[in-house]
Amino acid sequence: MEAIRVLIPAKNGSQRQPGIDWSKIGSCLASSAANHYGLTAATAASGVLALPISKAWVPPYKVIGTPTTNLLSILGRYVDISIPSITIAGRTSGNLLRVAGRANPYVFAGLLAIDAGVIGYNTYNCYQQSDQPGGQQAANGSGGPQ
Amino acid sequence: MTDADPRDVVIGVVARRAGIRPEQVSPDARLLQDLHIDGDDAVDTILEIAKRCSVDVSGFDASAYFRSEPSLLSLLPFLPSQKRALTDQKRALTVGELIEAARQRKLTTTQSG
Repeated sequence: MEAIRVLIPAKNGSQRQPGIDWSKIGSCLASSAANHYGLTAATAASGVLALPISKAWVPPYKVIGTPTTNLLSILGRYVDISIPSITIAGRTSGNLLRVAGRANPYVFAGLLAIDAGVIGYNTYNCYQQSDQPGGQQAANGSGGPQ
Repeated sequence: MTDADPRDVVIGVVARRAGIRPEQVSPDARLLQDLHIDGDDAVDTILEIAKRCSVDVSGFDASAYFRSEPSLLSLLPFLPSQKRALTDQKRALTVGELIEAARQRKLTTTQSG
């Protein structure tokens, strides 16, 4: 009785399509973020200032206040820097910190988009360059927008 | 409590907060919808009038009339809390009602609503 031979093609690693090197992406992402720490820090600071704060924690407003406020607006109650009245998001104020507090969430959204875009772009460039011979050193220099 | 006429006090405070001249403030003007006094500015306005005219505001709920200050939540307009914060869903509080409250020394949500 003849044995049945099933021919299975041998796997040859050199002929396989290259996959995504996640560790390389991670290192590129880390170096890109480190190169733009100023922008990332500004985004984080803007985000912290835009966090909603319950008025239950703010004594003057506890009695009649609306549900939430933000840190800049609370500071605006105590530090009154007068400016010409500006309307942002349908709210008019002549207090610099109040105006800044109202604009800040939208500034944060813009910074976040720019930050993500710049870091993503540089990570992509870094990853592409590191695939090329001698590209790792060039990638560390980051060739994208700063 | 000052001896000044409550009408002058209210109009003076509102005009200063809105950044306009007192002559431009009419009793029919609504704080949020017409003068765009909102958020913490509106609360400060009420509290200043209450302090200067000795008005009891313990029964007043500002959230029925004014919106919160913008925060990260403002970037998520689909949230129920943000839908409730739309200007057209807020009740109107007029300068005339504030003047009347200053004369009666009491401002409540029921009275002004």
